[in-house]
Amino acid sequence: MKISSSSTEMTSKGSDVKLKEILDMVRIEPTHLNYWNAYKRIQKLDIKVTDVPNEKRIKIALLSSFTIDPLSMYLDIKCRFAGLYPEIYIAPFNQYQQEILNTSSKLYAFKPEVVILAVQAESTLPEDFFSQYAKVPKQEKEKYQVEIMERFKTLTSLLTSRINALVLINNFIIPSFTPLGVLDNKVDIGLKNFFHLLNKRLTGLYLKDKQVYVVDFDGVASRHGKSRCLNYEMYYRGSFGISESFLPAVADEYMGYIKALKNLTRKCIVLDLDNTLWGGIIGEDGIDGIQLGKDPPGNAFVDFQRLLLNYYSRGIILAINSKNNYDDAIKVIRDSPHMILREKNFAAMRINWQDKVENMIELAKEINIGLDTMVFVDENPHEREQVRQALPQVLVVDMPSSPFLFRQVLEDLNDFNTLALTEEDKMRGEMYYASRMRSEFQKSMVSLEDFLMSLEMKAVVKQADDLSLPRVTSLVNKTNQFNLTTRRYTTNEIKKMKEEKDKFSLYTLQVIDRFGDEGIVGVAIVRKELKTWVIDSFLMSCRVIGRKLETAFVASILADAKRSSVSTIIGEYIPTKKNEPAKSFYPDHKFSKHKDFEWILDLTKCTVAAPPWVEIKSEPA
Amino acid sequence: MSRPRENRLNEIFSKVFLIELDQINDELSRKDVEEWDSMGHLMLISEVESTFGVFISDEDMTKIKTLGDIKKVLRKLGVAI
Repeated sequence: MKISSSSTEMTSKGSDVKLKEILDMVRIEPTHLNYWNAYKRIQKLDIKVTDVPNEKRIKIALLSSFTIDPLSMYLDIKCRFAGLYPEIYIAPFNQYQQEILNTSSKLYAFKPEVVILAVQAESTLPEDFFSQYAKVPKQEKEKYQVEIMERFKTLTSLLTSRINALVLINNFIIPSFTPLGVLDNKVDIGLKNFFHLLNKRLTGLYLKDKQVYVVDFDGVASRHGKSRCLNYEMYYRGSFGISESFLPAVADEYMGYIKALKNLTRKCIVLDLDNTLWGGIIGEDGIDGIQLGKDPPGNAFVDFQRLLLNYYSRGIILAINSKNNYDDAIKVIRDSPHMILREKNFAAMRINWQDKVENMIELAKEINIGLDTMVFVDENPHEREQVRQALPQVLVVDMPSSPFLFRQVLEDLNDFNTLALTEEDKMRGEMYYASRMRSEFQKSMVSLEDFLMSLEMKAVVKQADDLSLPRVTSLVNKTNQFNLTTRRYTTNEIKKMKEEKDKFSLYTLQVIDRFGDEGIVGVAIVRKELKTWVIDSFLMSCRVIGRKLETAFVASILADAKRSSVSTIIGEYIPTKKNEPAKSFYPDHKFSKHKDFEWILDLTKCTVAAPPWVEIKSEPA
Repeated sequence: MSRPRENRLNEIFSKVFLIELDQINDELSRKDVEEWDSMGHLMLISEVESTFGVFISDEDMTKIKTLGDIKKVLRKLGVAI
C-alpha cells in the first residue's frame, strides 16, 4: 500500500477555500516546516490557472549554481499572499549557462516573466583560486574580474535578446572570512575587496539596463547576519546555498521586484497624528506638551517624520487620517518648529471625529487612487483592527508599541517599489498639493468654464523620447480609469514601437498650468497605415480628468494625421471594470460606431477642435 | 518514553510527508510513503536535528528507513523518546 497525501484534500471543498486555509496556516506560524507543508499541499490542489487573468499570473524561472529548490516554496507562497498565481521553473542544478545558451532549453519553453540568476562566485573561478588567494598577483585577480563580468554580459545579452523577462541577478556575498585577517585592507586587492570590486563592476554593468536588475544579495545577507545565511549541514549534504532562516528574507527581496512588475505597488501612506507623528495627544497636552523635538521620545518621532519625507521625495503620497479637532492639529503641523512634515507634504487630510474607515474611503476618492494602493499607519491597535476588517485591501502596518521602533518597521516595508523612478515620481508630492490648491480655487469660481479658463493650461503634445520612455511605460501599465483599451506593454515592446517610426507613433501629453507642471499625464499609441490611423492605446492619468484635456490631446493627434494626409481614424473602446470614465470618449468626439468596440472618424469630413481653455504646443511627428 | 517529544516527531513526519497524524506508526517506511524522496529525507533529517538539537551522522542518515528507525537513532543520541 502506498500512502500519499491526506484524503481530506481531495474532497469537494473548493480549491480556493482550501488554498486560503493552507495560506492562513503559514501566515499564523511561518516556520520552514509549514512552508514546506503548505507548498506541497498547494501543488496537490491542482489549481487551474488558465482562467486567471494574465496580470494575476506570474512565471518565475530560477537559475543557479547551487540547490535553489527550497526558495521556490517561499516564492510560491509569498506570491500567493500577494494574490498572484505563480508557476515556477527550477533549472537543473548548476546548469544556468547551458539553459541560457541553448535556444531549445526548458527555460525558453517555459516563457518566464522573471528570471532569477543566483550564482556563487566560487562557481565562476578555478577551484584553487581562493585556497591560494594570498599568493595570487594583482593582475590575475583583475583578469578574473574582467572574465566574470564578460561571462555575465554574454549570458544576459543572450537572455534579454531572446525573452522579454525581467532578469534579476544576485550580486556576490562579501565573505566574512579572509586568510589575510587584519591585513586584508593592506594588500593590493584583499579578499573582501575582491568581492566589493566585483559587485561594483556588476552594478556598473547594468546601471542603465532597463531589463536587468542587480539584486543586493550581499545587503540582504548582511541584514540577516552572514553567519546565518548558510546551513553547513544542508550545504554539504545537498548543496543548499540558502539556509532555512535566510530563505524568507531572500524571497521578500525578490518579491519587491515581482510586486513592482505586477503593479502591486503601494502608492500612499495614510497617517494618524497623536502618538504616531508626535508623542502625546494634542487635544489634551497642547502644542507645548506633545513630544516632538530633540529629547526622547520626541527625537524618534522627528526621525520617523524624516523617513516619511524620504518616501515622499521619491513619489509616495502622504495623507492624514486622525481623530482630532482640526484647529488643534493643523496648528501643530503649521506652527511647531519641530515638525518635519508640513501641510504641503500631504495630498489630502481628514482631521475630524468621523470613523476612520469612512475617512479612508474618502481619502481614496479625493486622491483618486485605489484602496489597494494604500498603507495605514496608526499606533492605536483598535483603529488598525477596524480598518483591517472593513477594508482588507488596505495594508495595515502592525506598529510596535515603542515609538523608537516606528522608523525601522516602516523602513522594512518592501511595498513601495517601482522598476523605474521618473521625474514625475519625484515631483508627485508637489503635484498633489497643487491639485488640492486647484480644487480649493475651483470652489471660489462661479462656473466650471471660468475655472478652466483661469487655470491657463498648456498642453504639450510630442513624440515619446528616451527621457519620457519610463514614464510612458509606467502610465501604460498603471492607468485603469481613463484608458480606452487597457493594453499593457513591457518596456521593450514600447521601445520597439518607438523605434518603428513608420509603423507607430507614440504621443505624450504634458500639462502645465498656473499651479505648476504636472509632467507627462497622457499617452497615445497610434498604429499607422497608409490612409488610416488606428488608435491602439489612449490613456490619461486620473489626476487630470475633468479638464477636457483628452479633447486637446486627440485634437492634436488628428491635426497630425491630417498633415500626413490620413483620411480615416479608427479608435477602440474595450470596456473593463474600471474604465467607465472613458466610455463615451469616441461618441463625444464625433466618432461613429463602426463595429463592436470600434469607432470611426472620417477626417475628410470633420475634425475635432481643442477646448478654448487649453493652449496646445505640439511637435509634429 | 516521552509523549511531547513523540508528538513533536509525529508532527514533523506528518507535515513533511503530508500524512494524517492518525495514520502514523513506527513501521511506516520509505517504500510506503510517496513523498519520502531524497529531498523529503533531507528535510526530515534537518527538521529532526534542529528540533531535538542533535547531529545525525551520514551513516545513521542512510540507515533510516522507517519512523521507528528515527526513534532508534534519537535514543542513541541521548534523546528520551
